[in-house]
Amino acid sequence: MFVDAETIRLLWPEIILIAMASWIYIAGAFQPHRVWWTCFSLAVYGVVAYVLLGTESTMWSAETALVGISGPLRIDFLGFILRCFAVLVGILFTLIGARGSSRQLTSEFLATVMLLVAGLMLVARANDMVLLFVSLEMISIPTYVLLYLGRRDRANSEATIKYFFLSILSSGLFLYGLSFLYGIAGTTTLVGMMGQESVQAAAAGFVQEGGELYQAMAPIALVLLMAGLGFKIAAVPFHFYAPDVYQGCSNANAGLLAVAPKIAGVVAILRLLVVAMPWAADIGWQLAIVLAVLTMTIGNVCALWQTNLRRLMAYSSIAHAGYMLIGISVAFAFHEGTSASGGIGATLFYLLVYACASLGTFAVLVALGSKESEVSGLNELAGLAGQRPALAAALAVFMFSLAGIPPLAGFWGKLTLFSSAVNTATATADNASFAAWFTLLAVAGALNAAIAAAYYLRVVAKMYFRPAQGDLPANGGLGAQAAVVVCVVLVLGLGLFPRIAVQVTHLAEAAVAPVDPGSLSAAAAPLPRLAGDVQGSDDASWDR
Amino acid sequence: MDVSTLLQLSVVTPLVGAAVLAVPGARRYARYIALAVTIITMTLVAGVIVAFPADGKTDGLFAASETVWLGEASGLDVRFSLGLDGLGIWLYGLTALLMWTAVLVSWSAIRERVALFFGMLMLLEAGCLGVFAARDIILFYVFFEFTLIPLFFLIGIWGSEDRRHAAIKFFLFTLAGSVLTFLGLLTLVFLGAHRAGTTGAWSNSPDRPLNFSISYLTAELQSQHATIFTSLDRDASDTLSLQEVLAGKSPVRRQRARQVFSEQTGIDADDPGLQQAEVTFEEFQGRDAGLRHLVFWALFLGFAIKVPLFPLHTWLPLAHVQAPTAGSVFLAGILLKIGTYGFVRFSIPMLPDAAAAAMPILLWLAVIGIIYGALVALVQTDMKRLIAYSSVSHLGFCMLGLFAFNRLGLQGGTLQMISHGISTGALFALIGMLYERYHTREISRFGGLAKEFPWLACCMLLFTFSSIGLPGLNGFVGEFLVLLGMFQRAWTGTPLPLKASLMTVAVLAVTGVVLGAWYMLSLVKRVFFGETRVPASTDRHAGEGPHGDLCWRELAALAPLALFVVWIGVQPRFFLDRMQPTLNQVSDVVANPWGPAEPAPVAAARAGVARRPLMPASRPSLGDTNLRPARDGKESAAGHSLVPGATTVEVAAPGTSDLSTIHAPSWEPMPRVR
Repeated sequence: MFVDAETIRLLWPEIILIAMASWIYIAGAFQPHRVWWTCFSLAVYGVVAYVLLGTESTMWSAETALVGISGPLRIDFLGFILRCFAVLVGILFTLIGARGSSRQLTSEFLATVMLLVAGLMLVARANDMVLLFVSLEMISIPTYVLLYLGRRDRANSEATIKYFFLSILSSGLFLYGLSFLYGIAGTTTLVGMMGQESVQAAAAGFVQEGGELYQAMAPIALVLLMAGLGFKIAAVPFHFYAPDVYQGCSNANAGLLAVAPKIAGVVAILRLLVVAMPWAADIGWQLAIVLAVLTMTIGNVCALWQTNLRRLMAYSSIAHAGYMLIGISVAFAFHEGTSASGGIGATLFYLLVYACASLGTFAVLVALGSKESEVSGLNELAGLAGQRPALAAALAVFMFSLAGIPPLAGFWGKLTLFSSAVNTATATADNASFAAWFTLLAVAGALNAAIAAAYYLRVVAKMYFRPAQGDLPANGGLGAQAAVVVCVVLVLGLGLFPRIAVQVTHLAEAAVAPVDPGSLSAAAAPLPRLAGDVQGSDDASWDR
Repeated sequence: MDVSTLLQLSVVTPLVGAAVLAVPGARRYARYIALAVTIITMTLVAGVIVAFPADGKTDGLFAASETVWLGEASGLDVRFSLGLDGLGIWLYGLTALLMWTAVLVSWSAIRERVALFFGMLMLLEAGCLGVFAARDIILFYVFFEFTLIPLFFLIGIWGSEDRRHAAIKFFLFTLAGSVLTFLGLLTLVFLGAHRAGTTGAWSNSPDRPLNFSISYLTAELQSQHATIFTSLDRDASDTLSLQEVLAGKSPVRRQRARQVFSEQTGIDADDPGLQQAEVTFEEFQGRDAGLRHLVFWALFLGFAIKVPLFPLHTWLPLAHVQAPTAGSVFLAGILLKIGTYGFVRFSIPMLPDAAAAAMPILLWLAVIGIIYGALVALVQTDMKRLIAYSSVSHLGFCMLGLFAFNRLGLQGGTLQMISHGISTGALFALIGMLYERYHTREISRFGGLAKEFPWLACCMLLFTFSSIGLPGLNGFVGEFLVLLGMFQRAWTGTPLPLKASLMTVAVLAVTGVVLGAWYMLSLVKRVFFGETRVPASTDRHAGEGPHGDLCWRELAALAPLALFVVWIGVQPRFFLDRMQPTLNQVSDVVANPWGPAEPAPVAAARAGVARRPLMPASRPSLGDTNLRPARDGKESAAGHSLVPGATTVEVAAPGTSDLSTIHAPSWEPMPRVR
């Protein structure tokens, strides 16, 4: 692992973000104007997007998925689209959150969001355990700050403290898992190149040597890592914090909590567990299926009785983590020789549509509130369709999308996920246990989609079928409204024209498509060293 | 203009209309915009239907068009593909027709959020048109599910007192079934992909993108189990099919059987193609039979809830009673038909073996629905609820016809869908008109209305007669064909217990006709004749709605429906001819669940080619002995030629649809000519 000028060059977007965040922290003391800083940070994201697209878009012009390694970074198409996604999410956070925070602290809020986005972008690239851990912390620590900045009351403090402690605990579990992994592999590099020790290569080695100890340790590492990351995505045994924390914090922050850690967690699972530990897949897919079914079901069933909107969305976000685990279990199963792929692409696409609809929902809630009062009860939405038809229509679109009703984005998410599960189930008819498990998984997913519709519909029914009870302030600011528009456009656009997004995520899957351990041990096909410019690998065994 | 363009435009026009209605300034003219869009759509639809070939022979698809939606690069080659065939054409037309009625009956009934109401109605129409025109399995599902959203709002916002509950129950009930249907449809796609060319290699990994085309999947899934070469001629006892070969358990017998088979077909007994076919047949049977049954029941859940079949019907009366008139018209007229359409489009042709296995259960459920719906309708005090239960009963007839699995039954069932859509749609519209005048639907509060409202009574009588199946009107043709098909199915049923059970079903179904006449006529008698009783109107809208007899607008709403009631009744052939070829294909596949006796797959197996691209040719099947023309040996030989091109031999007597050919059927198989 050698950091050179090339590595630095590839990190320009992150560096810009961190530098600008630091600048905002300092200058915010002298220029407290909210609008000014909002525009400034939007401009920064614009610059970052420009740099990102400018330096990298040429690399992915062909339909081949380039893979390269530079220092602790892994350069592939998955990383690229996730970085773009992170910038988009950053822009939406900025729009949604700018108004909610108190006037003096706007600049701090925006700078902290910037750090968080930088963390997300690093996670997308990390090819090293240490970098991965650091970048995950780079998401967690700003989150603590943001939660605290949101509001200053007892409930919020409680939520922040709760999140803080549980997050620390999960980081501990995650680190413990990483230490096992390091023990097994003897290196911190996840996917290596010729002459370099890596987790994958080491594992391939021990399979050949038949080290029973390593094999015994692999499940421990897997479970610990899954626990640590399960907290981030709010998968079921680690979901307890979510409803309380969401309820306690402000709407804008709840939106952030629903999206940012989930992106990071899912990507880390894909990179660390699926791609780098294919040799642990035999228990991985079962673990993922069990977690998926539990997460979906508990999330959806608990959401049925919620009357607080943020609590409802918290359970909804838990349930959606369960759907994403469907794709992850399919991706695990891929290593077990099912030859049915599609899991990673489906998970990524689902992540995208979930993030759009979920952020949109919170943007509507922010837009409906004002600085003094926040919308939190389901009953407050009653009769909204008469008072604020546009916002109500937007919220209805998000709800239907989250419920997976066509022709909205959520439907295609469900389509890709379920088809990957059904694919695995039918492709492996000769392996009865696979077929049974994945059929069960698909059926559980489908039934959950129906359960979920019940509480999403309650929201819509409340807005459209009930008379108004009182006036909502609807003074959340232009930013939140702009965010609503962006999200509506995305949800409708992805619903009616899903082609590009589905293809892009499909390509991203090809980029991370795991390496066959057998070919790794042969070490005949090295990753190209990135020198001067990023080069594509022509070697087929590495592309796949 | 090209017909496929017309078809696309007809689906898109209501969407455009909805978009126009969303413009804030359009609110004042919402009704007129809606009417204009409806007329434009009707014109387009009429253009498509007029261009449809009169004999229904469309050579595949009519007005087909395709646009890439997800694209091959995504691995899921979902396409925006539209097209019509004999099954969809009339339902597609019915949608546009009922929209006219729906818009006109809502003209003065809807006073709040008018633009939103008509916008939702437009979306609903677009969804329904799309369902019947979709030729891509995912596109079908998209439209299928999409119809829920506008109807949810229509019921929930403009419905009666208990509308919120009704809307949510309707949505969730339907969704719960259709998510499993979704899985079933996906599994069909993967069965089509993974098992493609079962006679060839057993492919586990589709290296090509998934194909979601309905035509492709129908052909593929049928060929998968027709791989399975049925007899060269089942009537001939000394010839053997490979199926029978494989049935030979002991290796010795099997070896002998294979020899006989190879002598007959000229295929070398050691031919690798034959052996491979044999292996894949066994694999196929063992592995997939269970899965296919599961898929059938998954599809069943979604479609049967839509229909609604007997134990799954509880959402329907609630939704109907609470929905606004236009919603009821559409719900009864179109949305219920999506369920039956799904059965004919997917369950039966794609999973004929599973459908055949499930046939007795479904027939029993259908007949229970017929009797139960009729009995419950008898005791209703609310007119709308009465009609709602009559729908349960009538849809039972449709299901009975479809699952009789023969030509008569399928034609009758499909025609019954159309007839029910027209007459029940009209009845709901009439009740809506009455409700607009008096704001109550309690039967006991009315009496002797015929004196005051002669036109209303006249229309009511016409549609009532149509609904109970008076000869000369549309209801009769469908019901008659259904019962005929059912009795035919029952007679040819073997073994005896099955035959007895099916006979019971058929006889019970006949009682449903009597019950239907009973409850409908007693409704008319109580409301329109006898002592005059008119409820005092206490509603706050009293005085705003129409008074007196039907006005021109209301008559205009009903006129086209009345026209079709008579037209279908007098000239059913016009309608049957157009759907016959498509339905015959379905009935021929399923009446003989192991595929049409078409040896093309064997020939393909011999050549090592695994594909059979075309729909199986129409061929009279075991269930249709009365329609089977006498054959001489020469014809038989031609029918079973090993040349794949010979599969389109038209064996059936042409034009069997019209009633004249349903001559006193001889229920015995034709004498064998050797």
